Amino acid sequence: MAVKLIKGKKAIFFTLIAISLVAAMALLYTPNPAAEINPGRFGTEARVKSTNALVADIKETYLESALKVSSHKAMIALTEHMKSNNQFLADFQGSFSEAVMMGTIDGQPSSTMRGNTMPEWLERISNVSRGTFNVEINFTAHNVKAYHAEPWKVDVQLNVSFSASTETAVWNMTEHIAAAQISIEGLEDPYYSVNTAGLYIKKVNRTNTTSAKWDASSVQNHLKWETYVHFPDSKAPSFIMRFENRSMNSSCCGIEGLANPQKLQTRWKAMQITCFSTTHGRECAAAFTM
Amino acid sequence: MKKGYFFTLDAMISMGILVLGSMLIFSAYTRLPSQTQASELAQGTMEFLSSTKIKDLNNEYVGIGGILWNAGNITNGDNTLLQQMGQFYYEGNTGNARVFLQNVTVPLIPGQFRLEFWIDSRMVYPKEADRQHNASKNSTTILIPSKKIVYGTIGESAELFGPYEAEALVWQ
Repeated sequence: MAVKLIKGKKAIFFTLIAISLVAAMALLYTPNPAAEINPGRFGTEARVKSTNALVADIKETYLESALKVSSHKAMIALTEHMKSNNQFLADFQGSFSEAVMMGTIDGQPSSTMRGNTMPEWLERISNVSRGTFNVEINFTAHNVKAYHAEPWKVDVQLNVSFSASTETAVWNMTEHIAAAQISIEGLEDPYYSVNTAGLYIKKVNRTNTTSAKWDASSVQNHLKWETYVHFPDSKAPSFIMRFENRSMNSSCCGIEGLANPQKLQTRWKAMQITCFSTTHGRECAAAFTM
Repeated sequence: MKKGYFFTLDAMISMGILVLGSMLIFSAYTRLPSQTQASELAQGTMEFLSSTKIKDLNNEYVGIGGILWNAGNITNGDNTLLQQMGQFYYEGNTGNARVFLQNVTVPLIPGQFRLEFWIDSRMVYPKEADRQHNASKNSTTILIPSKKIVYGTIGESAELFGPYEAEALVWQ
């Protein structure tokens, strides 16, 4: 019965064959999204992009952060060195550069600078870049400078050249000037520390009083809280000048503060007892000179 | 009369073939995104962590005024989420880093995906990889990590932590 029905009806087979062929063709030529991506090209592009972002990040952020921390530590290390030797620096720039680049002051290793010199920070980012992105970065750094452009901050500059290389591309950055600003607030004033043989420690603490608002009460507070002030026509030395015991005025950035006599007297008495009962020759001599 | 029967049969068979063919084609498409989606999720998570600052996040646990902020565990709103995790790691508070990450990634990673986060070659999230976690990771066909370098300052230029390698892995 069925054979009879099908007999002579060839169209159905043609239709079936046609549909099957179309379906097979559709399956065969359907684009496979995964196969469309060229893994080699995709990989190279991704690597170039990630290395580019890394180089930009080092240039724009990392160098500044590292220089900031290294310089801040160098300021602390220099003050510590001056206090322990009870003498001012002959050349602030030279000593500062030595501390930042080599971790030594007058050839002596500084514990504060251990792990905080610029070459150490540069080596760290170089090692992590190699491990993370397989990027080889070589740095050369020189000519570190510290100066004042404003009274409450020290500006630091460092010349850095570096090259970053992968198997596909190379980045070169020559004589890039990395810059950072350090706030001097909270740092010890070396002038007091050295002149009192470490007996009177005074940290830079900026007054809130503006130049037009000085009165008896603000002067009292200035003395009580041992704050510092900057006057535009100041005759005082800047923070950096205090490392060299230079007492002439700074053209831009002189800061001045008063020593609290009560605090000084208390320590002075304690010092006298110490000096009469024991022998602290150098410290006592310095304090008596004050 | 008989012709109509054949035509109906013909149409039904062809419809069946078309449906079957469509299913085959579309099932091939639906399988692919899960592989690319995992690597995109890892990249998206890393991008989100490295570009979003604490102060810009509205989260009752990690945002400004949140639990960690009020407890004094987070003090710098300008830190990115990744920097904050790096700082937690530097300070030895990997527990905080873990809960922090869990909180900020909940809306990012759908439930069927698993996340693993490493800082400085140490697994920060999850706390421990159990057998099920490892089995799932080993059985995945594709696992592309997303990496960043993290560092940051603590306080007024006094301390610099890092640089550490941070790595996010997402799979299904």
